[in-house]
Amino acid sequence: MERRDNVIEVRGLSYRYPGGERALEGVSFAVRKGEAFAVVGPNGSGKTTLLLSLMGLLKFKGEIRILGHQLNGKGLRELRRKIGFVFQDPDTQLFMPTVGEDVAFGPQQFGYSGDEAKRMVKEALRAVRMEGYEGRFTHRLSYGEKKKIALATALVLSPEILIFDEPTSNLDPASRREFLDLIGGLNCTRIFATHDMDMVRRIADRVLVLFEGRKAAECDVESLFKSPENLRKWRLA
Amino acid sequence: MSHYWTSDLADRPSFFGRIDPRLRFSLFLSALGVISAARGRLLFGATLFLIGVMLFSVAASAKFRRSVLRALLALLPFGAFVVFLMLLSRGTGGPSPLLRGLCSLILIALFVTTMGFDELREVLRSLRVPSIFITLLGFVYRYFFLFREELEKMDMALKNRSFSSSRLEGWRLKALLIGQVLLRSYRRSEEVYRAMTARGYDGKER
Repeated sequence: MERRDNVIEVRGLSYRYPGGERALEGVSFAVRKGEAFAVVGPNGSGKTTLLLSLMGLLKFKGEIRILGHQLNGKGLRELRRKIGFVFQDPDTQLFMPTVGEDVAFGPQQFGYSGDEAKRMVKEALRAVRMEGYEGRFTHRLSYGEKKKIALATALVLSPEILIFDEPTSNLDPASRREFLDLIGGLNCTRIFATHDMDMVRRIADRVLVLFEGRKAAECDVESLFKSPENLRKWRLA
Repeated sequence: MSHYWTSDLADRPSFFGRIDPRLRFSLFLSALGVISAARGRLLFGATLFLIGVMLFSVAASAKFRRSVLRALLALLPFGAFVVFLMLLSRGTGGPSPLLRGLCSLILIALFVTTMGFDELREVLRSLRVPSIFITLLGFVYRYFFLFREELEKMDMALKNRSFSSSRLEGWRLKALLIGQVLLRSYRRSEEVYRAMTARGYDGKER
């Protein structure tokens, strides 16, 4: 599994909910630099738990190495500068009253000056085609707009890795297409958990299949779609 | 959408809107102080004065009239609850609690219809209020609309599936609904904290 171009290496990742219920059991995989890596699986298979673990937001068992650094308490904050996370629900991600303040939150946390943060906000909004939205109140945005702004909050620090949790859920067809174009056009390493198999086919290079908290497969996209039986077995079709 | 109106009201031009926001804020705080401390004739006089101010402002503009009335209607249940609590407490007999409640309602209605949220934060910053307080105020503002929207959706779902005509049963279900929204807000707070942590927040205000 160890390769020079691996940006993420996960070995024996396990997690149990506070009640003791198993969410993940012995999951191992690797993500290569610049690839679009999809995490698929039915509801409750542990996709979101896995993504939260990659951000060091849950106390897990096992080993996670990101950009060559062991994911533990030390240097975690600095590592988060290099990883962007887009939550499934944009109302969770966007917690500040205005768009500008929300996008500027990350740069402010990492000590960027006011002017520099403003410039970064402008660039991030341009990247998601939402220029001029700085002063808009977050609660007045449509769901699709919120999703794009949520992406801008993750892009603002020019991360090396971007993690998306169900990026296309609840989006109308036009917003979904726009959002997929945005994700597809990014150069960084992208990891996304999704049920949207059309998105997997369109954007992903490789896929990790989770089933009942365990790794069921890690393969390229073509191999996944070659076996309709497996897709049905894993409740993906 | 119905939940937009509170922030839209203050954007409309009005007599009070032309007064310097810092002065408006200071007047609001001073007036609150006066009605809390006032007794007897002074309280009665303050009530008449505030009613006069409100009548003057609503007479000046039809748009403003609608705004103030809507704000008053929105605040009425909260005001009634506060007055009810005041009536229950010792040593606050007589008309004072009612007058104070009425004054507070008018004051808040005038305040929210003339001071936009951005304007309020600017005033607080210029008065050197600690930034953590302003940030928290921002969170409250941000999530107020979200919880209101959730409450409305749940209320709609409840109406869709409740067939009892009993008023008591209706109130019981409403109480359950509010409990559910509180539980959801607790869960949401944990998710928001995660989102903040993911973006570099480590408990320090920057």
